[in-house]
Amino acid sequence: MSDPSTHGRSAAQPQVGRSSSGDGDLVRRAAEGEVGAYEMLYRQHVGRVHALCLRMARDRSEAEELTQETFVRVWERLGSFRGESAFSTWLHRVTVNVVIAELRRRGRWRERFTAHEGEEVGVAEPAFSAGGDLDLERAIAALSPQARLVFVLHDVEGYQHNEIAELTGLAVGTSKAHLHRARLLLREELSR
Amino acid sequence: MKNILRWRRAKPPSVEERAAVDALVARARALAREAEPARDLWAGIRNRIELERVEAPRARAWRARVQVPVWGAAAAAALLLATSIGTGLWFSRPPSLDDPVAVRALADSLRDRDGMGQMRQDLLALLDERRAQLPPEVVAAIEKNLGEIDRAIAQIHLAFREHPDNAALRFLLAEAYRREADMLEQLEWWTSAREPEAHS
Repeated sequence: MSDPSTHGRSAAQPQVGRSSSGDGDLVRRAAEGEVGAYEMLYRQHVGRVHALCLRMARDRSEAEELTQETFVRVWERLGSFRGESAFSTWLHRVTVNVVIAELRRRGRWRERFTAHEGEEVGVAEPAFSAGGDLDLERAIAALSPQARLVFVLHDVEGYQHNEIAELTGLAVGTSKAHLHRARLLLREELSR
Repeated sequence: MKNILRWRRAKPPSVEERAAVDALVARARALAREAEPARDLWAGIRNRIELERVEAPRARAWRARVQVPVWGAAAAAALLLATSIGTGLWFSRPPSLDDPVAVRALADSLRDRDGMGQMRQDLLALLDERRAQLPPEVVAAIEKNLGEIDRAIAQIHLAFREHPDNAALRFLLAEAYRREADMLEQLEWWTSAREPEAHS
């Protein structure tokens, strides 16, 4: 199967929409406990973090909670950021980790409380609905959680399968299988 | 059948199929990768950061004093929860009642009240069973917090009788159950035989 992403961008160097050239100083000050510096980092990067959370969450409310959770965790871990990669790259990886961990935790709770037998635990409407390709957003939102996770990380965010495996704990082959199935389902849905 | 599957796997994609995948990936790559939240989330983040700054040293001191490392995390979290309830932070996030999707999701979370009740009973039984393993301060903090949440749930149910269709009440009830379930689930996790993970 053709895999166009292999010659596309890599998640190791994510494209951030806003300048992060001043991040170094802000990160240092925030790591020293300066909340004002951390607020500036939040303002610079919240759009990117929230976009990923929106695509992975069940609804906008959950996406907001995940975004908040990410920035709280990042604050707690700032001391472990060694500056070997761009702050935006590190932040994005922490976001993915937090989203996966939180959705797993909430999934267990939701399974016990709300999922009815045979019911797909997915979303009917995309949380991400601010303009853009709504047909595709809607089709992505209807994917199963794992297929959605792999598709978003690989085809939207540009991660490679080995990186996805590292982040999610899935085997590389499983990641590829999820991507293949997700693409198939999306093509079917979009061709209707 | 296996031969057919093997043949299908080995079969190279057609030109049309390859073009369709390329087109899909191009559409995916063109999706917006930034989206500002509908409301400013910073206040909630700052509250939690400030809380952590105050509580973390206190929890560390408590852990050193009782010298039971495994329960340090439990005590810290119990203290944190007690503080957050006490300061009203756990209801600080305003309900997104202008958002029909969010309201529907919250309403959905109330569908299985029997399931909620059963899970609560299971976990209360777990607390009783493992009470002896926990420092008394932790048991006291957990029971105090459970009591606070139960009182909140009872008050919300009373208000429901007069306003059965009130979306804000539905939100608060779902949030109360969620808080209770989260806390009890964490208790289950803490009392398992492993150390808490350093992350997430």
